[in-house]
This record gives sequence, C-alpha cells and structure tokens, in this order.
Amino acid sequence: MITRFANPARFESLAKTLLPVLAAMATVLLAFGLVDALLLSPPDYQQSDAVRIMYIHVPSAWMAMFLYACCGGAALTFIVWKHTLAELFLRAALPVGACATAICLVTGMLWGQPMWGTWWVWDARLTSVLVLMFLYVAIIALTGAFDRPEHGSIAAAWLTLIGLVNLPVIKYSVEWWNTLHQPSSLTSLNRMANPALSGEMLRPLLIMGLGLTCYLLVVVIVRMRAEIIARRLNASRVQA
Amino acid sequence: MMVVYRHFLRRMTRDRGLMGQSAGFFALAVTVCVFAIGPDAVILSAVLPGLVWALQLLSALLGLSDMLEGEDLDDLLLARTSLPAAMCAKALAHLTATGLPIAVLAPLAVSLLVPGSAALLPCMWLGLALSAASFSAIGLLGAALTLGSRRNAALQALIILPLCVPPLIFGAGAASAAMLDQGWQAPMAFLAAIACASLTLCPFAAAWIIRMKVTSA
Amino acid sequence: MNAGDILGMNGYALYVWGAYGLGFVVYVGVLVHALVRYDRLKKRQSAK
Repeated sequence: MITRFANPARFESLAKTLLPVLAAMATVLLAFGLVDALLLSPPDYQQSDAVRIMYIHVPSAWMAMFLYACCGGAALTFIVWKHTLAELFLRAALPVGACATAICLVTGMLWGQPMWGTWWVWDARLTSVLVLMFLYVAIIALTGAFDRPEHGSIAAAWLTLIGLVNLPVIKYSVEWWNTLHQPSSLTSLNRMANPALSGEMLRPLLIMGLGLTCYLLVVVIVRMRAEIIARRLNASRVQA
Repeated sequence: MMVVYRHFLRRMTRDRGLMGQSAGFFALAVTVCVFAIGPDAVILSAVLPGLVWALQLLSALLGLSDMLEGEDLDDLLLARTSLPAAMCAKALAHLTATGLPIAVLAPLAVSLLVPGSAALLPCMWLGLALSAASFSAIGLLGAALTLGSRRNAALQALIILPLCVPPLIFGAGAASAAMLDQGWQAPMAFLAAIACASLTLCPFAAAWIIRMKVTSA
Repeated sequence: MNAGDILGMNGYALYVWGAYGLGFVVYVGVLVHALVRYDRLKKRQSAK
C-alpha cells in the first residue's frame, strides 16, 4: 500500500477527492465548534469566561503533537523506503505544526496570566512544549539550509526522528513531575467514565479538536500539492 | 580504532590549538558572567553550578564547526575502521580536546571561588565529565546533520541546544543538590544513563546520516 | 446572554478575544499562504 501511493500523480487524484470532503468537514465542525465554545458552553464556575481559551489552546496542543508524530512517521518512511510522498508530507506539515505549537504556547500564556497570575513558569509541560517549538524551528531551518534539497530533507527527517523522544515527555510530564500545569482530564477510560470535564465542556472541546484537525490537514494537502508542482517546474527547468 | 582516535586528536589539538581555546573561552565566559551578576557571594554560590554547566555546553559548541569540515570523508568511508567506530573516535577526540580540560579545571576553580564547596569536587568532576561526553556526542550528531549546509554555526547551535538540555538539567541538578547536601545520586544516575546512551547511539546515527548524504550526492 | 456579556466576557475580553484573534490570524494566514503559493505555481505551470 505504501508504494502504491508513492506516485505523486496518484496522490494528486486522491487529494482532489479528499480535499473538498475535508474542507467541508472542517468548515462545519469549526463553525459549530466556535459557536459552541464562545457562546453556548457555560462559563466555568471557577474560571468564568477565561476557560473559553481552553477550546483553542488544547486543540492546538493536540495538533502540535499529532502533526509532529505524523512527521515522525513520514520521516521514518522517507529514510527507510525513500518514499517521495513522505518527504513531501514532511516539508508540508512541519511549518503547520510549528504554527500550532506557537498558538498553543501563546494562548497558554494568555490563559495563564488571568488565571494563575503568571505568563510563564518553568514547569515540566510548558518546558517540554517549548522544546518542541525549538525542535520545529530547528528542523525547518535545517530543511532550507542546504544547496541540495535532498540533503535538507534527509537531515530534517533525522532530526524529526531524534526529536520524537520529546512527545512522551510532553504527554507524561504532568504525571512524572507534579507542578503547575493541570493533569490531563481525558486520558484513561476510567477518567472517561467519570470525566473531570463535564459533557457541556467536553463537547465543544472535541468538536474544535476534530475541526482543527480537518482544517490543518486541508492546509497540509494544499501545501503538498504546491510542492509537487514546484518540483515539476524545477525538474523541467533543470532539463531545459 | 585507537589509531583513528589519535589521528583525530592530533588534528584537533595541532591545527588551531582547540584545547587552549575552549578552556580559555570557558574561563573568560565565566568571568564575564560573574562580572555581570555582581560580587554578591550568596547569589554567586547559588548560581555557579548551573552557570558552569551552561558555559561548558557553549564551549563544546565552539569546537563543533570544524568537527566534520575539511574532513576527508571518502577516506573515512573506505578505511578499515567502520564508520560508526570512526565517529565514536571523533566524538571522543572532541571530548578530550574541549570537554575534559574544562571538566577537570572548572571544579577546582569553583572550589576556590565558592567557600566551603570542596566537598562538591568529586560530584562536579564526575558530573562535568559525563555531561561533556553527552555534549560531544550530541554535538557530533548536530555536525553530521548540518554537513554540507551553508551558514553552519548558528544552525548547529539551534539544533544541538534543545537536544543537550536533558544532560544539562540533570548535571546542574546534581551539582545543586550536592551543594544543598541533598541526594545527588539520582540526577547523576540519569546523567550517566544519558551519557552512555548518547556515546553509543550518536556515532551510529551520525555514521548513517553521513552515509545517506554522501551516497545521495 | 446579551451582546455586552458575550463581548465583555466577564472582564476577560482582552485575553479570550486576543487568544482567538491570534489563533484566527495565524491559522487563516497559513491557509491563505498555502493557497496563494499553490495558485502562483499553478499559473506558472500553465504558462509554460
């Protein structure tokens, strides 16, 4: 199956069908999600309306890690099988993931200031997400620093793989170190049965999460298609 | 492998006096920071362990830009020693040239400047040696990643610094814990684990990366 | 809930709307950038 999609032309046809579907889903979900988050969901009894920042902070965090994990998979596929599409995905998805991480950090700061009185604290989760941000920036810088683009892709793929260790650190940092950032409210099945997050808050969170996923996937696919065209133009220019 | 190691070491120390330069940079950097912080002995003694570790990391960065430059990679690839072993020798040579002098001398300097910290000496020696090993190994990885790129130095720093943060945290944590007479064995154990892992894994990764780059050229 | 409540957000307006505004700018910006780049490349390709 992997080699079946290595052909960019086949990816093009897949993207043509996938893109409108994803775009429609993203629009619907985000429309519902934003209305839900900003208007319908109740103000928290402790945090009042500032809790609404959660509906953009948490999905961004999910996307930052999800995109990095996907980039890790793409990097592995590229290094082991020299899969062209994996390389394209890597180059397309990295800046999008970086944006998500940046939004996660900034909205976190905007949430932290009114709630806990501080813009930043060096606790485990914030620090490891900051390291994720640095990793993204370093990998993106690496992709562009080479005269031969293949070297850039190879180096970026390797650094992505090496940085994968950061993801478990982020995920489990709130369990390993007991500091400021609140523990996850959604993880184990036990917790899902008795959620620490009420249904009325869970619903906009999940809708925004799904909506943001579809939206950012749309962005990544558009970037991949642009990259394919750019490569074709380059190749024909070199041949001419 | 010993031959390769000695070869690298001779190149590093002969051409540009890397040993002296690294140690000199470290000494000057510490002095500059101390001037900036001010002569308050209480603040200094609290800050000094972390400062020493951070500046050791930065001094290790200095030697990296010519780690793999001007290196005859074709020779290395065809040599009898396997590439990972050669890379390990390279990291060790870098360690000997830059990290170890600092690891040996810095605790002595700290014990002079900070009264009553002579008990820290074994902990600091061990900790600085282990973190120097990690920095050299991870630095080798960074040099391999940026091999063939333009504008090397800042990019290498950008890549290597996030990866070197764990050894830094554990090393400085061990020193601070020792200074406060708390248990320093736990962070030191983590630091030793990181050092072992990086010294064994990074040469393999660096060799693989270099091979991929050279064969795709 | 009236418009004043929604916009005022119990005094947290600056933080909440600031956060959503920044998110909007960045996420829509990255989409617009991708679409514009795609469009330009498509035009260049069809011009060849």
